[in-house]
Amino acid sequence: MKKKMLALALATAMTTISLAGCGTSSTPTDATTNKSTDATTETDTATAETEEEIPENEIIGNPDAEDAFYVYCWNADVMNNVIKYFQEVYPEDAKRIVYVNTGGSDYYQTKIDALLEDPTNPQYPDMIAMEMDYIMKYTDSDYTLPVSDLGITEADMKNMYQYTIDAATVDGKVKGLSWQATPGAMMYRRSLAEKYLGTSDPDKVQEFFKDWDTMLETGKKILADSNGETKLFSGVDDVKRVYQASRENAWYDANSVLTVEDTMLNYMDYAKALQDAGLTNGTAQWSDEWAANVKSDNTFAYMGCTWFLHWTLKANSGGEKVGEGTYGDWAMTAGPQSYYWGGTWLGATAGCSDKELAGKIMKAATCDTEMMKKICKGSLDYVNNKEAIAALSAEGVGNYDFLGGQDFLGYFSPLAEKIELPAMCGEDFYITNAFDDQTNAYVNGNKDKDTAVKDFKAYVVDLYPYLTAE
Amino acid sequence: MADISQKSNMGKKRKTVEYGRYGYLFIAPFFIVYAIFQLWPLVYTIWMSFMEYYSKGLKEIGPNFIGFKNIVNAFITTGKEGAVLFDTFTFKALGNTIFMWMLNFVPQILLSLLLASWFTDTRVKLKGQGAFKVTMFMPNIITAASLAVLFYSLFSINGPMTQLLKNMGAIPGNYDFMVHKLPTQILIAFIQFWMWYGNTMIVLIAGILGINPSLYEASRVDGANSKQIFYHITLPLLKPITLFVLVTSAIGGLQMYDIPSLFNVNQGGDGLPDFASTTITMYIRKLTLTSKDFGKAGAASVVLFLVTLIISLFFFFVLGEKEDRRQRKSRKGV
Repeated sequence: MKKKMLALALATAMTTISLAGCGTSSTPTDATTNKSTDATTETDTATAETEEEIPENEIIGNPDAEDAFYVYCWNADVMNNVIKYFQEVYPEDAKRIVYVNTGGSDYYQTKIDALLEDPTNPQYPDMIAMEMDYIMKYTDSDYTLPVSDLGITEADMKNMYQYTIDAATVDGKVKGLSWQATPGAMMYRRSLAEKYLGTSDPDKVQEFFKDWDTMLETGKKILADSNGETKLFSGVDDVKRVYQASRENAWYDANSVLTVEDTMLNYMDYAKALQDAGLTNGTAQWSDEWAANVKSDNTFAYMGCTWFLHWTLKANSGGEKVGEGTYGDWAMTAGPQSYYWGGTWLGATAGCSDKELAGKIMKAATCDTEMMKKICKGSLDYVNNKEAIAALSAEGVGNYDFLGGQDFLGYFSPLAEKIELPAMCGEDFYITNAFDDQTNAYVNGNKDKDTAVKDFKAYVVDLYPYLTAE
Repeated sequence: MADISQKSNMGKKRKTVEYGRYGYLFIAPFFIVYAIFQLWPLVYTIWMSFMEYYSKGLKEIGPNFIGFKNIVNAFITTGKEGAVLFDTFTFKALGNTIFMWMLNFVPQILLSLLLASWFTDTRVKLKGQGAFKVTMFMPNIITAASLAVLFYSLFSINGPMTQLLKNMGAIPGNYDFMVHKLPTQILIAFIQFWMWYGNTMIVLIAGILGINPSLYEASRVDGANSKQIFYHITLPLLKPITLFVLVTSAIGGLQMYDIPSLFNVNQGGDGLPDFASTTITMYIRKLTLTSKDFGKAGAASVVLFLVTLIISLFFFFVLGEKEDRRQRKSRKGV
């Protein structure tokens, strides 16, 4: 009996602990299996061991080289928009770059945090990409270097939009630079606007969406006129970023007290109003259904920004040229409120092996007007350089057949000037996720607003021990 | 060779001792691996649960020894309403896990028992048994991750199953499984059930085949019907196997991770909607990797360990003890 008990206890211990054993450290070890010296894709063996669903790292470049310069990003953005163009001008330097695509933003922070802690790791990142949702986490730490250490002066930054500099500034030090500015707009279907609003001209359509209440009325009108076929948005969370961008306070203040400010409470109300009036198709942002609605007549508009236009809307429009899918049937108007959405910053890490190269890449990608013109022409990304934008807009580069000929550069340009940086904190990504869950519960009628806010606070305080709720 | 033959001449007792020593060498690798990869993390996790150890942003705080505070916090919330026992996210996650496991296990063991008794019934002699068994075992071969993704797309808002049910009028036109708690939990439980009933059935068949056939013959000679045979011979003699299935399933079920973590989750890895499909292991993962509160994660792991231990011991005593007692009694009688 005793032996059996012991055996049982040990078996329980073994199985229980097998999960605890894998959680704490996921520092990738150097994968030595790769023998080819050419640019090859290599799978990272160490990160795959923890949980099955963590995507494998995709590595471009030669990681075995002595002077390998590691750049980390959660997707191929930096590769396609920056390094590709850097390569053309500085082929010798570009050879040293080892680009690691961690595959999806969900696990990006987890992966690089472990690496940043250990500068002796052969795969230690020399440069990291940081997204708006968590840039503060890295800039407000000793893990990133001020750009002045890399030889980038204020004069170099003169053409940037001020908000992109503010976003990466901590204690007066700029610690990251971005090659893109990301003003947002409302993107709607021309044919549907013609049908239900009588016009597809952006200036006239804007009248129907000039403020939140008018937008709601217009949504109801479209729904009624289309016999319920066409909804204003795909999901209620499409308007989230607009509200979020106008926050005055971060999720928590200097005393680490968690607050939900009126802007976000208003968002909850508006989301509920959209849901109750049946103005959405009930999708969640980034889900397959949400993306599929881009080519369907059931969705009138999306709230999107510069990169959204190309990589989300165009990519999902179901066509490559005018006439295919909904390609060419879109137009932009400012919508109820100006806002910005996302953006990617580059930062050099504290243990960066070659500050000169880091400075060179950042200077080329974020300060060099000629280079940025090339980036804009090549990828149609809205670059963070006023001079380049003005020149390109004059050249007519912005006339975009996807938008029925509308000049997107000219359109975004005044919007970009207007962007004011909202308050942020390093935990934005996860806290906003938790807020979305509770908003959904409220919107779907599973709980009332006060309970939702209370549950949100309880959950966030539970996750972050240094925060308190009022 | 000469050595061994000499030693063997020294006496029989000595010889057995020598072989025993080699035995220890053979089992040593297991214990070494166990000590490094399982025992040490186990001890370390428990040690962590006594620490205040978290990161604020990228700044690490701790580890400072704070005694039982983490573990107490895992059991009790102290808010405006005073201290409430079990009203913590640790226990909410644990509750979700146990609920989803029960939803999966009860129908699973019933169906598996039924199928196992049909397949082993010598009077029915089911044809094409192999084909049936393979078909039923098949879901177990598919990776849990793929199943979770597959079911998610089947039952998402525009998924084929959702559309089918809408067309049949079974659910209202704007229904979404993924925004309701119970349907999400039922779907996760169903995936588990569908994955594992074949496996449980095979184990039970093995158990039933291990029962002495003469018992069945004797009962049939005595005129027992199938029902009586099942309840009075198969079930009582199958108890050790049932106990095994129950305990392994409970331990596996409490660590439910892969399916719920890929099924209906947000970008931060929380089970949707509103925490309902977050299992205890997902919660521990979130604490370790996202918020980096190792102390709290350690405490949650200790709670999981304790609950697993209690549940296993409970099953062990309820189902196992009686048999032991009966045996002891019968021995006394002899």
